[in-house]
Amino acid sequence: MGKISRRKFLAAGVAGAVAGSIGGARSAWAAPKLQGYPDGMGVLVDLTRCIGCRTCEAACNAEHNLPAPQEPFDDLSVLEKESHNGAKRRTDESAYTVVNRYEIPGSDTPVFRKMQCNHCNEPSCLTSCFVNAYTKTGEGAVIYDPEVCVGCRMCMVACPFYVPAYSYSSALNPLIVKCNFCYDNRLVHGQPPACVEACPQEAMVFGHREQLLAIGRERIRYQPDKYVDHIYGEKEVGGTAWMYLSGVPFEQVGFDTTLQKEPIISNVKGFLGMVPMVLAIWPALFTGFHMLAKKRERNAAADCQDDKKGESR
Amino acid sequence: MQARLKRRTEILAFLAFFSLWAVHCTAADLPDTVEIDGLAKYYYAVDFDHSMHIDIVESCAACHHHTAGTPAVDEKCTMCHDRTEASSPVACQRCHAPDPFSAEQVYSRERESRRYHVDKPGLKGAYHRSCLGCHISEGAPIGCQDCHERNQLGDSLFKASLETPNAKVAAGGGGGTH
Ligand code: SF4
Ligand code: SF4
Ligand code: SF4
Repeated sequence: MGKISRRKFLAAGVAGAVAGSIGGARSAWAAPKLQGYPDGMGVLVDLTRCIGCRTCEAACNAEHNLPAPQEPFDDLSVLEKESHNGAKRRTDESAYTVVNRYEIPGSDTPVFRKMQCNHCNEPSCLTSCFVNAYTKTGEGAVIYDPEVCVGCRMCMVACPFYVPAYSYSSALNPLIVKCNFCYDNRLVHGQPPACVEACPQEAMVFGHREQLLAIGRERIRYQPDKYVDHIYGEKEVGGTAWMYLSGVPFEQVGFDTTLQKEPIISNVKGFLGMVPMVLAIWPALFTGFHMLAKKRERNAAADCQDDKKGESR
Repeated sequence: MQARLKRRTEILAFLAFFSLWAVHCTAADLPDTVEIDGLAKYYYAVDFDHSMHIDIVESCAACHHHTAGTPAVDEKCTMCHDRTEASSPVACQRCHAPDPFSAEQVYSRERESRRYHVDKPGLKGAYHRSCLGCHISEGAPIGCQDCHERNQLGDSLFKASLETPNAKVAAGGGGGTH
């Protein structure tokens, strides 16, 4: 299985060496038409099937050895948790995915929604990152390299879905954390993400994005009364690898339905066109940050070495 | 040649076995309990009380759609299968794969992309959507552990050993101050 999987997942998506090109700022900005990864892998989340059991959260936590949560994963009262401003739970440094519960006006059945990185076709986290810490892989995953990250948190601001979270617990090594589609431990080995595999309801379907769209359309066509006639993520911000079906209007379950259909890079480009200075200054600035950070890391590593030597003596 | 013969014998034996089995199942020789151990990693096997469920449902088709002697009833199926005989496999896993998202399954679905049944749930999904659908509408138990007793690995997956402040609040009855 190992063999077919990797190669075949990739086969369709070779179109996109696009991702890495931010480093040469000029060419990336000059190429407004990114092709995306229409044949990459994706997941279709069907909210009508989710029962809010949090098994996906537990599976993700175990798969990535994340810190223990505050409450056990079988405590379902957290689904109703809201912060003081009424906002729902969000992904953070100890949770790449969270499930929230929404009461629907005029209905006594709540709707549950799992959220994680949507693995955008043309990710704004990637385009906003000046040190090129993000990569959109051929398999459709948007992954992140902590070795390169300088901790500027531009990606957190840029993401239209508020996904990347900041790891406050590691002050020395600023880290952004987010769902990586289980890229290195599963996706490249031809396995589905841990959360998808664990879901008892099969609320998520894993497959090539194109096939997921076909399945989504077919479900809507077959049960038009059950579903809202929209696949969230088909077009939003240029399309996402993770997409959603819902039985209630998407804005009632926390989706931003005002997002543009074009990739966000288009506006960024316009903006940068007006302020060419930014292009000239920011890379230099961030290279500076980066070198500083790396130097600090080297020093820390050296200290560590010294300590070790001390111990072994 | 040798190999092909062998293969054919195997297939014949296989078919013979299942036709016998199908006859058996329609001949009132039904299992009283069925052990379901698909989630054995995190939960003890479920001893499904088959005979109790037989008593409370109207027909076998409530669960065994178009098998076990009952023809297709779902409108989605009868569009094509209105005159098809009940098919022979009875056990859910004969059609619903335990690994619906493995590379093999994903590609076999896509290779046959013109086949109608591309959205067929895997085994776990089929069970839960079928069982839970009824359990919800009929007011039967719906908690995970009402059916599946969790084992030690399951407890650690769900971090069950953690304190549950929320549960305590609920038990204490008071609730928070804000
Ligand atoms: S495991 Fe599946 S059903 Fe349970 S909360 Fe997650 S998506 Fe919903
Ligand atoms: S959802 Fe946010 S973090 Fe994920 S790929 Fe899109 S922009 Fe990046
Ligand atoms: S795809 Fe992997 S990393 Fe992302 S939420 Fe699911 S289990 Fe977690």
